[in-house]
Amino acid sequence: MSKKLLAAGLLTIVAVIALGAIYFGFSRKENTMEQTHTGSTKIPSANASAPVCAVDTNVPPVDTPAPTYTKNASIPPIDASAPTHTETATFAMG
Amino acid sequence: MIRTRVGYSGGTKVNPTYHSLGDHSETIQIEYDPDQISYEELLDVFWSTHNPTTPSWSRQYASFVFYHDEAQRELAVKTKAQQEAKKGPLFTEIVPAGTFYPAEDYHQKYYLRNARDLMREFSAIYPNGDDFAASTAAARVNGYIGHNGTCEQLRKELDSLGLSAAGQEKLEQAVCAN
Repeated sequence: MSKKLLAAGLLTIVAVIALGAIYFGFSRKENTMEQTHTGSTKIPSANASAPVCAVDTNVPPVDTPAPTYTKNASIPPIDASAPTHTETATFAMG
Repeated sequence: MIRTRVGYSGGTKVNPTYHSLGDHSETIQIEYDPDQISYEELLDVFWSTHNPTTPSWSRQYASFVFYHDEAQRELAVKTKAQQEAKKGPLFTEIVPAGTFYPAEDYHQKYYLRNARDLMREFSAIYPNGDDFAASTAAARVNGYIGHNGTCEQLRKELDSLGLSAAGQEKLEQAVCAN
């Protein structure tokens, strides 16, 4: 009888430890996910449109593309010195 | 004259395009320095470079003065009356300026676009179409290629147009050859 009780007690202890390990394991994972994902229920309404996923810092940085070339440095002098006070005329000439 | 743009105005259609113009007319918008040229002088050019004595075939090619303030309206009405005294009734409407929709890039600076060597230089200076359309240099070179402006006028400002030595030579040849 006492052996049966001892075995049952040991099984209970093992079960409790196993359940604890599973619980804490998930809990740690969930915490990790919170660091990389913001849960939608925790987002204030004003930020509801913010991206759901934050930047994953483990991803290696991608090469930054060169800035778009919008204007050459050699602006024609007549453009560089164009007057700022102007008036507008609009015509349709057939 | 500081800059010019062609576009569409006078109608109600929102965001017209060349192939879907709606009730707009083809229009030119001029930004000018009033210390250099007056609105009345621009009106002289307007009346002398087209002939609105007959109605246009379509609204696309109608004759309009789109005035931007009361002073422009008064001058437009006055000079129209002067023109009608010489030519008879004119089919030019004088209406308030509404929204001006710039035409597609390929319509801007038409003569310059067809002078490929010069256009290549401007494309390097202004890769962005809006910057190109707003360029005084591009507007003036376009005018010279379209035979508006004399050789003497060109030589006075040739260095200010942002062209290379080869580009300057090419433009000078085109304008001063005749």
